[in-house]
Amino acid sequence: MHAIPGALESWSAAVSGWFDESIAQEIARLDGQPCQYYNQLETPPVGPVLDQDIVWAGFSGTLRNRWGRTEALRKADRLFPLTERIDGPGSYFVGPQWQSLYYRPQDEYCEWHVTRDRDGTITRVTFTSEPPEYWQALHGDTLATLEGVPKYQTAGDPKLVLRLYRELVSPHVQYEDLICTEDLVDHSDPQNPQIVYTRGSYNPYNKWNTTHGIVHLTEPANSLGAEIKLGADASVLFSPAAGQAPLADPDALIACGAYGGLNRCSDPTIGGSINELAALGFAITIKNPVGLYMDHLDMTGWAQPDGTPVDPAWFRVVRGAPGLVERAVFEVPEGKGFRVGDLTIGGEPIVWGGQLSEHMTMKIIGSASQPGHFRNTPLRCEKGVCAEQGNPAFLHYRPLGSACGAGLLPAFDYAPPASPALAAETQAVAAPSRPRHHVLRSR
Amino acid sequence: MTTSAPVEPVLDADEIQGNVVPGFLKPHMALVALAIDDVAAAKRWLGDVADQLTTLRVAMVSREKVRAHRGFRAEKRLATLGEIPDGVDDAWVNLAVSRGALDRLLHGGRHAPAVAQFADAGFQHGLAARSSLLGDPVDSAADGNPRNWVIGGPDNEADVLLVFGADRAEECVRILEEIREAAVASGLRLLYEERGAKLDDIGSEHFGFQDGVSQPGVRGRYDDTPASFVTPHTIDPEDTPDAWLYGLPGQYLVWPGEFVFGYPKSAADPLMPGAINLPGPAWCRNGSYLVFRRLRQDVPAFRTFVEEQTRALNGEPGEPGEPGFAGVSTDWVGSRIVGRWKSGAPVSRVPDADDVNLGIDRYSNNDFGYAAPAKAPPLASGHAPDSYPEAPADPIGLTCPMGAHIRKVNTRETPNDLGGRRASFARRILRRALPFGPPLPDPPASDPALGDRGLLFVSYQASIADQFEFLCNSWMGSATNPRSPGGFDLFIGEDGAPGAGRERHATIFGQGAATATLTTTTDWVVPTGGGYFFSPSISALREVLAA
Repeated sequence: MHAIPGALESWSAAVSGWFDESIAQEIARLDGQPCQYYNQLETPPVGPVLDQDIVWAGFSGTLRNRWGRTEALRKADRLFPLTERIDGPGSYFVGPQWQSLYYRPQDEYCEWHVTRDRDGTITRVTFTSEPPEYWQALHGDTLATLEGVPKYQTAGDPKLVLRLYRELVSPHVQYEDLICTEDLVDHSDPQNPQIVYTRGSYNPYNKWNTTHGIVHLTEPANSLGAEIKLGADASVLFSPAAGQAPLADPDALIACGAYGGLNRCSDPTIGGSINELAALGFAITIKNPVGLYMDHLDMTGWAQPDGTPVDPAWFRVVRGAPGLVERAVFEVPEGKGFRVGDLTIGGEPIVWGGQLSEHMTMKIIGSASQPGHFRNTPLRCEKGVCAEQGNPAFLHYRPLGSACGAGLLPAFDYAPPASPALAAETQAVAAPSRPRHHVLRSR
Repeated sequence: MTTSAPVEPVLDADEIQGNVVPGFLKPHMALVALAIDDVAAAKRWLGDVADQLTTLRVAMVSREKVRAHRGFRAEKRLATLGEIPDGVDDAWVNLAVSRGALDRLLHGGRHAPAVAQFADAGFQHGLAARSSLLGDPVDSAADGNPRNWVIGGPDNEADVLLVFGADRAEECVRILEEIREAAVASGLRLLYEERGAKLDDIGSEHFGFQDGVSQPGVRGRYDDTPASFVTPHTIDPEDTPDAWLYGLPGQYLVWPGEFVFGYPKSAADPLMPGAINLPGPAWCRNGSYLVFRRLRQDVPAFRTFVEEQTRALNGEPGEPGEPGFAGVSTDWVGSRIVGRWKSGAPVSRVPDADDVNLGIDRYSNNDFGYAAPAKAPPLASGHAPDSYPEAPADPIGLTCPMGAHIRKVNTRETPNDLGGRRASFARRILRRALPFGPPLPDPPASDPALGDRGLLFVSYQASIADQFEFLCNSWMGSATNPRSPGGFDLFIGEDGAPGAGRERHATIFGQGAATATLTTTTDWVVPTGGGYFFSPSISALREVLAA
């Protein structure tokens, strides 16, 4: 990005804009109370800044909680059409176009692509944590606000995008492969279809980033804007009833604050960690450079066919830096006579890419200053949640005050009873909330 | 809205072995490991010994007497330390079998295919094969490598493990000898035998810290009366939801399926029973996995490390120390490594000095968290809430470091790398450990044990891979997880990452949030034996394994 005139500045403006939008949204609901989340570009921190690494595991908690580990590993390595969600029934987008556009069902801001030999043995696993917005910006598209309105014009270079794709994925990549050949339209509201990606804009779901390879994140919740908004939402204190202490249990907190995926590893821990600081009155932001990172891959207990440990150099950082990894490859060097699929972890052969991601530690870095400066009163819950009766480890959001639908049980239901009239009026279904999307318009 | 207490399941008290729930927790223990050479003879012996195994129901009777005698408050516990109540003089035994033993015992029978149904990679592979995953040394010349273990290495894996517990040493020996002789007479081969015992009345391990303070509270009742909880529910019933969440104050109640097969495991909401956990054949119900690790403790190495770090933090004479750490003592440094003072008092409540009363006060020594300020709850007993200092919020680890042992293995209400509080519930284990070998005097004059002392670590859990192994590999043996900034669990964690040189480090905080990093490449806890086993129900032992 440094090589493109104006690119860094326009990217910074977009990131800064997402912070400002998030802060504005929090201020709107804080009802006169100050927002504890700040944009470090515009508001220099007061006093010493305390940085805290917030870490989580790379393998999807959603898949594991919904289907159990064995099935989750199987599902994680395949692609899902954008018409099929992993966190409940329903579709991310509606319309025939989306049935043949795919994403990786890996929702911990860590995605991987498995390369196999003709006999099915894994030869390479390629990881990324780069957000799609960055590649849209590299292409020079107009990035959208958190609400999906085109706003942030970036200074990109489509030739650079093509060159990087050829370096990272395949020399056979053609520019036409990477862009939308027609408007991609979401028909979730049949009366008001929305153009999500316009003709000629960069297509994050292009084949070289899905069926044929990996460059950046694709799971619809895996975006930088989502991370920034999550940080803002988590800086708000919540309690189920007036006069009660702020919620501290991270599971109850995300259920109440409704700021992310209930069943993930990432969102409950990111939100909970930030909220703990907010409860101590800190001003909070995400450390620059704002991003989603892989910290490290733990290879303890990984063995070669002869039982000796693997060489940690087989995990190679391709983009980013150690501790701030954006792209990495795990493969056995040529000439060794064996492949990734011939290795074992604790004696178990590696047959799924997810087995590696279980040992991946992800991170963002929170920055906090001015302890005790804020003394905000907690807000009431945004939503309630239901647990599946057959699998109470798996949660769904429900509108506040509504009952759970068939096959669902109320969970974290510690709030006062809702109005009976309201409860009868709004019978919840197990429909998950829609992801926030960064709509791309043509340049 | 949730308006009533969750209904805890009735546990099959005549089927579950008593060391699983509620635990023997006796001052004396012993382990005997046996090999099966003659399957038919071994089956006959298993059928015989089944009648001698101590059940949950039997163990619970004594447990209630001990609780009544000792109470929970410090004053009564101090007055009764080490006492055995009238009418309690137990000598108990439990039994578990390895995966290899299941294979041999069930070979050719209708239950033979069931062995593959045990859905746990740890159990299926066995401890020796999984040792490197725990961070144990992979160098075959190292003491901690399975090739050099006294039991449980690739050439000396046990088929059967007997666990004994008794109030008096002589009774422990008597029952051990009686059952061992019967086993040997029946053709089983003795591989290993070792005795353990409390080192003092407070229950210290060899490094000097009270062990076993924070056990998860198992949900469940031992009969169908409403209040027959295996874990006492001590919080005022009016104080909800805390009265439903905790046994003793700060002791989270965990659904029994995390430890015993056939019962609900954790759901997302801790007040809601999860799915029934039966990750094996139907007859694994009321069983549990047993992990045994013989952990040798290098007491001089640990003491030397703590002393050296203390000197470095204070500064050598004439040299400045680390800013913010002036005046710290060896006990202070040790407390930051463990998260508790030697008495068991949590640093979260008493950050500056030990408090023996708090350390042994079971109403108080677990009543703290990290995410938010803790407040002593009203108690069902009518006892006044305690007067010890309350624990403030400590999300960053300024007082109890993230790398402290107790914070590594139990993240309490804070988020961790696998998500929220529920992720911690699914990692808890039931520990049943006692030290072996004589204590080393301080300073050491002579050592008749020649350094061979440590912990006979025994734990029960429903998944070896997701609970015991996860704790070792992903939390104690990680510089970053479950929370950062932290470092490794310097107390018992290992760094087995390839290329890392077994270096472990941890961050601690001094005055004014000053930080210091403690670093070592010395393993003062060295595995020297062990094994993974299945602890069957009484009927499974009789009707499946012995049949």
